[in-house]
Amino acid sequence: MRGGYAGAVLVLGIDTAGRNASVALVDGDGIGETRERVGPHSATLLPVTAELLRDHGARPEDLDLIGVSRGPGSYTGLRVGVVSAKTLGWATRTPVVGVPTLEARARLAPGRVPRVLVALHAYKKRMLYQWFTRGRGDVLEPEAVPALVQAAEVPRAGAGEAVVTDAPELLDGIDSWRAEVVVPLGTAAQAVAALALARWRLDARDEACSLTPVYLRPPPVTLKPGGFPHPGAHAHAHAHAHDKGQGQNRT
Amino acid sequence: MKILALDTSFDDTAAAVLDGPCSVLSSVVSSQHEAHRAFGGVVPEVASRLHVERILPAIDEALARARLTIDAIDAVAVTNRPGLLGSLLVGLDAGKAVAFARRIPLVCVHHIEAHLYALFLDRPDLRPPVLCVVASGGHTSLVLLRRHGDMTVMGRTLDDAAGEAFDKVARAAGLELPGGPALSALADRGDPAAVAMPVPEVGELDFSFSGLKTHAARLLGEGAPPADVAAAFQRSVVTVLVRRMIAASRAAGVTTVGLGGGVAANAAWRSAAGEAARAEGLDLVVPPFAYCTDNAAMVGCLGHFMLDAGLCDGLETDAASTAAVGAVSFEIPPEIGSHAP
Repeated sequence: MRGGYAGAVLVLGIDTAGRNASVALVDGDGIGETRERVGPHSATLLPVTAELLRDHGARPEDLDLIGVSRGPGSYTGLRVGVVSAKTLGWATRTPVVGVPTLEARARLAPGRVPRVLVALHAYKKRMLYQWFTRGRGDVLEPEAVPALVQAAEVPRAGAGEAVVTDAPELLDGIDSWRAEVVVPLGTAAQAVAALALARWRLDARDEACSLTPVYLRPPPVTLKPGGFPHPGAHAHAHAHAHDKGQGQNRT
Repeated sequence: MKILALDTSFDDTAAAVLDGPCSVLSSVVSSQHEAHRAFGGVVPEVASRLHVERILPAIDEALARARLTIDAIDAVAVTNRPGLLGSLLVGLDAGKAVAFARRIPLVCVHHIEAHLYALFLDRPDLRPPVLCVVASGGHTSLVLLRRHGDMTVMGRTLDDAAGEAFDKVARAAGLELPGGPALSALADRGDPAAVAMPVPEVGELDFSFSGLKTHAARLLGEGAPPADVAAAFQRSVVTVLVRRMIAASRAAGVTTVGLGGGVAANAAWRSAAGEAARAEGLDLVVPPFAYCTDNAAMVGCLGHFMLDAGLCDGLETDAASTAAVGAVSFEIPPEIGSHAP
């Protein structure tokens, strides 16, 4: 790959699918440092990225690959991560690879476990879950697409299996499960970087210009072919957003 | 100084490249009208998703039309307030990422302030003070620029924006989005005196279009000829916009006035404003239409002045759905002010 950073491969991983922005800088073996910042994704992602690169003496153009968590997850968070990652890649001519959020998390399970359940907190008492099986070449393969359910409906993992979750308190009676429980603390972005690198080495294309988040659902809209008085509630909200701003200026 | 400017505050993905504050090398606007038409209004989640898809192609296109690569860009200006939060974030994060990647300054601008600064595009001779009537689907305001970096709102709508009222009456008349131009075309065939239509005047310099809109919709519902209703409605809106412009120019003691926002496409408003300005001895500035509707060139213009004044924003800057006009003031150093407009 490119030189610049002591000749080693340098991968930036970005994960904004959850509550906080998490970034990691890893080498070709997937080993490195992850940092997580509490606060709005947009306000924290690039500052913590800049700080991480600076502390490692790396510049944006030293990156060989940018991996980003595509979702599913927080819509706003995903957009912040995807737009930042692909623009950073585009501006530094660094390839960008998007990876499925839950699949990256599955990599945080112990290496010998043949089957992994990933269960992430979505919103309120709802969780996203997905099963993975360790297949050929030690790769964790999804058994089905992610499902969004009430926390109580998340299936149980048993002996010989592992659970990767960011909200063990929502999983009913998890203390009695015989599965290994992994609660990743600030390691999400590292797993994203590692999965992106694995895929890039395998067959992934550079998605710097085309990457979009994986949304769980279509936009929440109903068709309103017209007919006053059924104002476009959203256009309305926009108008008031502007006008309120001006209103404050008058006081 | 070459600036890359971005605006994704509402439903248009816009990118522009400027060389200096008033010289536009390229201005690209990717409109989402088609995508939102089926919903009868702009859907924020749809807008955010489209911005994510379109932001880099828009930047690419703006650079290509300017015959530049990203390496030639010296600074980034981006709208971060006010607007739809999910939309604003896309342009803001793209702008921040470019600034970070290229190690160039970033400046964040206010969307309505940028509409005022559209007056300076292609007009390097223009000098403050200037009063601008900004009327679009999202806002209707009288914004006074006393000197560069010193802006204040003299009047604003208390309910619907002028363009929003146009769109809603158009919808009631069964016209398609965007309704403003369609209603205006219908008005050309009608008689404004055929139906009774009040001129809504509230306070000294404020606007209110909600009651007028409801009145027009009721007339349509009662079977009044749509062309006549459209003509009378348009005349009322234009009348109050022009009266307020003249009143505000007197109150502020300015001799230069301008129009901005998408409603400036309305020929009736432009012509009535021109007549009133002539009668009052005012210089009326109307930017090319492409700079009246949402665009990024105006963002680059204001951003350039702010950078000249030494303003610069950090990577931690967030977006805001509401924000006061004039909250961030700046002063252009005299050595720049003497040769820049």
